[in-house]
Amino acid sequence: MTLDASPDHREDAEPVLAGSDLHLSFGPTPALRGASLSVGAGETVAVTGSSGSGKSTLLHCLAGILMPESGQVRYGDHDITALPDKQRSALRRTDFGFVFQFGQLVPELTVDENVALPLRLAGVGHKEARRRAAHWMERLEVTGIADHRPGEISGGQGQRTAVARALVADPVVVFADEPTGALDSLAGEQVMTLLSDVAEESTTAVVLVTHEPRVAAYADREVVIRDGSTQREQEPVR
Amino acid sequence: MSIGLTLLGLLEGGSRHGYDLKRAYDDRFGQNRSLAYGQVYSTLSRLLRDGLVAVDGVESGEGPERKRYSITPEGVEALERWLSTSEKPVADLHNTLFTKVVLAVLSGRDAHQVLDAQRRAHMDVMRDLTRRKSKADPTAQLVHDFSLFHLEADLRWLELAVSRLEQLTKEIAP
Amino acid sequence: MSARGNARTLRALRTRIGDFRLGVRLAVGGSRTPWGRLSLAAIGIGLGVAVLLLASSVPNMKQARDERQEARLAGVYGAYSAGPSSVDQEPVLLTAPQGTTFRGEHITGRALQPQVPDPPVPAGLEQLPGPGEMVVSPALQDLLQSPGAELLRPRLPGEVVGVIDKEGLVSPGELRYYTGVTDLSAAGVGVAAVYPEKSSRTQPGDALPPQLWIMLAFGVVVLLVPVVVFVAGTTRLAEAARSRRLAALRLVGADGAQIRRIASGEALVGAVLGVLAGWLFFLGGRQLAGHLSILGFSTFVSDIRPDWWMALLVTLAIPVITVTTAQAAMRRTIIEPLGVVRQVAPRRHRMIWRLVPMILGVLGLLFVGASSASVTDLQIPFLGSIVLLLIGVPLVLPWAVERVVQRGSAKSLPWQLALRRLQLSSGTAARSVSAIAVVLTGIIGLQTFMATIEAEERSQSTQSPSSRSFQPRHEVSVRGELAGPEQSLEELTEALAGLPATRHVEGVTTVRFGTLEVEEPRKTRVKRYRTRATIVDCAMLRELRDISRCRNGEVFREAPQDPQRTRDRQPWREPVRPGERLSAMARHHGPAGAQEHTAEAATWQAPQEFRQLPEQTGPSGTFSLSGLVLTPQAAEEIPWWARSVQVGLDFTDSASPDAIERVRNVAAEYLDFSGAHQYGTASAGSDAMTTYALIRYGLLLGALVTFALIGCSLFVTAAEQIQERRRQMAVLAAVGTRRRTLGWAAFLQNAVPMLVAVVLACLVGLGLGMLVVGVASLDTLTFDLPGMLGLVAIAALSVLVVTALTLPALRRAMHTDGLHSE
Repeated sequence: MTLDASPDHREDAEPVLAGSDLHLSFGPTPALRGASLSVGAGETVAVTGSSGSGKSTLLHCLAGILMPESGQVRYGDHDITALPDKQRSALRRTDFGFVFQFGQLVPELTVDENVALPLRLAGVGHKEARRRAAHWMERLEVTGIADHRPGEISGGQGQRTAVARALVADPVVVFADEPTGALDSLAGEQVMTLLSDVAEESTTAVVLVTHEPRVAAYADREVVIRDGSTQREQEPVR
Repeated sequence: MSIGLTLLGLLEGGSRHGYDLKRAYDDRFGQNRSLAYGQVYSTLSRLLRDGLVAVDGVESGEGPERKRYSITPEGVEALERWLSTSEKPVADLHNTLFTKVVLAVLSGRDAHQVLDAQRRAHMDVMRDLTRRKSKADPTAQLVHDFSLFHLEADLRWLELAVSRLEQLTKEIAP
Repeated sequence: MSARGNARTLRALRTRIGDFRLGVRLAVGGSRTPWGRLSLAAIGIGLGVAVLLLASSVPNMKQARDERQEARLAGVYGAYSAGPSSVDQEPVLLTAPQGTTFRGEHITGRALQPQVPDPPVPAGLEQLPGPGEMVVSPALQDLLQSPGAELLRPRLPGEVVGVIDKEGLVSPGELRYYTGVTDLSAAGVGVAAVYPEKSSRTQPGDALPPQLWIMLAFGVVVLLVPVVVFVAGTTRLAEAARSRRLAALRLVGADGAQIRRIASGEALVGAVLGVLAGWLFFLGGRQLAGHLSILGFSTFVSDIRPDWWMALLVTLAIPVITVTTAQAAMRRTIIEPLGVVRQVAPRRHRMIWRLVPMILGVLGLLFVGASSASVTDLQIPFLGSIVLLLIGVPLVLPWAVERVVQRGSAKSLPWQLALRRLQLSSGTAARSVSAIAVVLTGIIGLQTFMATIEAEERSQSTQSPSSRSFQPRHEVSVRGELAGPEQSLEELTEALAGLPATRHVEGVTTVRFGTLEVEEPRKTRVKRYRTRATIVDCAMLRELRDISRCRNGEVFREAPQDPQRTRDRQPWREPVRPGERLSAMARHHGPAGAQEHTAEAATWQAPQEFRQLPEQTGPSGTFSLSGLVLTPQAAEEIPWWARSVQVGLDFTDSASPDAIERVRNVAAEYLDFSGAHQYGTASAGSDAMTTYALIRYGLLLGALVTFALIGCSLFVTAAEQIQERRRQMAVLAAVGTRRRTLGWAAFLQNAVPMLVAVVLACLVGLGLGMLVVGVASLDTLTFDLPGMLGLVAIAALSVLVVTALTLPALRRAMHTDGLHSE
């Protein structure tokens, strides 16, 4: 398995999630050509790169949403790319959490219902789901708007709600795709501070896709992706 | 920023007279002010003293004597060390970085690596600042914010530079 | 199973129910419930359910009517008797059909004459009306009490003593009466005798002739399939938003089955509301239908009731259809949620499997057409094939629309906007017109079939000589029987001539002759019909036929047309022999007593010599002289009760439409069982013609209802598209796009799919029509081009109307407010 070659990142014995040499093209345009990324428990890795460089595609491959054409994604004992859809879905429900920039909160559901959604999808009972959701809403400081619907709250509150939802099922890995993309600096800062604090406390690994250096600075490590391939870090100049 | 290292970089392409060196420097990097002759020769003599350049020969003719300088292996080593070392993120950084990138392109090196190394250095500082900021009091936070935004501006410039490298290479590569 | 296994099963079950509940929750979200969309779906599905329930009530409706009709017949008719019954019993009740026409409406009546103190009573009556009394249906009672009834009353002079109850009526609007009489003769050929022993004779319900059956079944399918397509379509309202929402759920880990369950839960809310609404519409519409009368067709509210299993089927099938559609619609969301979330153009539709139902349908119809069995025996293959063909249309349509818009390239801005939009969402566009395409296809097929039937009938009628040569000699024909010995034809014609509207009047009397015969099995004596005789004086006979010489007392006989042929066709109708004794037959009246047929008084002896009646050259007119023609002097022995009267009458030019009613009143004064018919006025023809007209009318009505339904859905889709693209609209408006440009784009966006739908529908519809014509084995394939153009015009109109209706929404969307909305 090819691991990230960076010597200075936290060298955990075993990364919890590791994608290696991933290739994927949409039609004639290659989106990923040899991208690799691994993340250890409790580690936050920022994936940066210009738009169209393939950073979201890499995230989707790692999360089992997209299937790469070649390469593998190891999670625990599994190669995610070899799992059937049903199991990948189950993995996303139970082991992964997601924060996206767009269209993630269900507009018909209230904030607390949105937060409890992954638990309900996983078959957790109504009361239990509510209780656990309440905990995370408090942690993310959105308890006050529990009865509101996504249309009635601010962008920052929405993203904090999304973070609470991503964490509610005690995931092993949280995937965050431009979580502050539509927020102003302060709101973005709040979201990122809470996300990184919580991830650190709960030893949750975070894969953070962003194009903003200030956001990437919340991560422990940065992986730059350019033209669909991740850049090796610390390679000596010839 | 080191004029000496820059001159070494210019010499790597082939031996030159001091006068040529000044012209080449002014062409590439003298946007703000051109180099004085005195500075060229004092720098060259320092490089000569350190064994980073050597004198190939002296041509005599009308006017002052013209020495031909060339880079020594020690000089190449010093240059490489410099290029692969990231600069401390400070204001006015672009002058140095710009020089490095152009030199890397001119010498056929991978300019991406110059930029990536710099990016890493910047990110390290930013990470550190971010960590410290989260524990700081609001006044200190403001100061950190200032630094962070400036560092981010540098990084933006770096990103753009990376995107423009291809174009740049076409334009200035020998 | 282990406890842990049980727990796991329980958990899985709970997840399933949870998914479902989540779907329901998504559809009904408290304060922000999309009530507008939900109620539209409910109304749409509801209308569909109501139509289906109504359609499934039709067989029951017909059966209930048939049953009551049958009960009425069994109660009153008993057994017909043209002579004495073989049974050694006296009849308990005599009855004869009566009736009249009032301002174009038929009123049926029945004269009843009890023969015993305790006679049977027809269904719907408490007791028999006494002599001179009437029991009338509620509708007739209303008519008699309405203004203008004074023109009807003289014909129905009896005192109304009761109202016919529902069980004695076929429909609430039926105009019917029973009246008590005393002068019916059991020997009358028009009189039915009821015997105490109940006749078990039942008449099988009239089976529709195959062509009518095909038309009816075809029509019902053509109208119901679009309803189902429409219902399926309502589930896909606001699909784009729903797909994006569910795709987002999919990204956070809902698996395919969960998405399907959530979508089902969501669709089910609309479906359940829709089914409830459907029942409400149906029950409400039923009440309304009780007060409606279409072409004289009305029905009892209680007759409109679907079979329980049909009702159950509709109630369950609609939710199943909507859920299935909702699940099918989620296919792309499940496979490529990322593409849905990011609104990437979907992949192209594949053609092959979409053609399968259509091909199967064509093969099926070809098979039914080629099969030697009757269509009515192959109902399921026949109807199934039509359904398959029709279902094929909405399947092929998205492909066709896609092909057309992919090809299109545009120069003008509105075209560009419309085409590019359609390229992105050709599926939605195709769906919005798919129901209309199905209706058009079906109706064009139906039109072709009906046009062919009509052409066939026309070609047949022009071939038959009898109908061509019929030209009435008089404007009005009056028929009836003398009401008593004191009445005479002369008095009647005088009275008619006295009416202000009468210009000319003339009349004849006719007699029917029979011979007494002994019927073999039980040696009963029976009077058999032999010939008809017309009593005309010489003056009139000269006018009617080319006769040079006529003396009073002479008897003419129709030239025997090839006696051999006559005998083959009607063996009992031997020509009257010279000197033969014939017996005059009573129609309704006669001397009292059933044995009167033997009475000498009723016999007439033919002369030893007949004059030959010249063949008819001109139009036969009001009086057809067939059989014998008697001059009045030769008919003196014939009693009054055997004489029927035929009067021809012409109105003056200034006669009012009610003149005919006055004629009927005068006729009723002198005649019994009288009727007057005015040629050239609209009057219901044969039963088959009525059925044909009813079916046509019903189909037209159904088509209009379906069109209206689909127009609504078209509008909703268009409005929804604008709603969904408010932001883009606002942006376009903000950069200075003219409202006209966007209006045009919206129009084109509606028009292009409609155009494709119309072209496809015309092609498939004509094919369908041709195939059904083939099934019905008709030769003169005819296309109803005006009808087709009419449909196309309606389609074009609907596009215009829908675009016009969406313009206000477009204007609102173009307001720069749209820029701020999130």
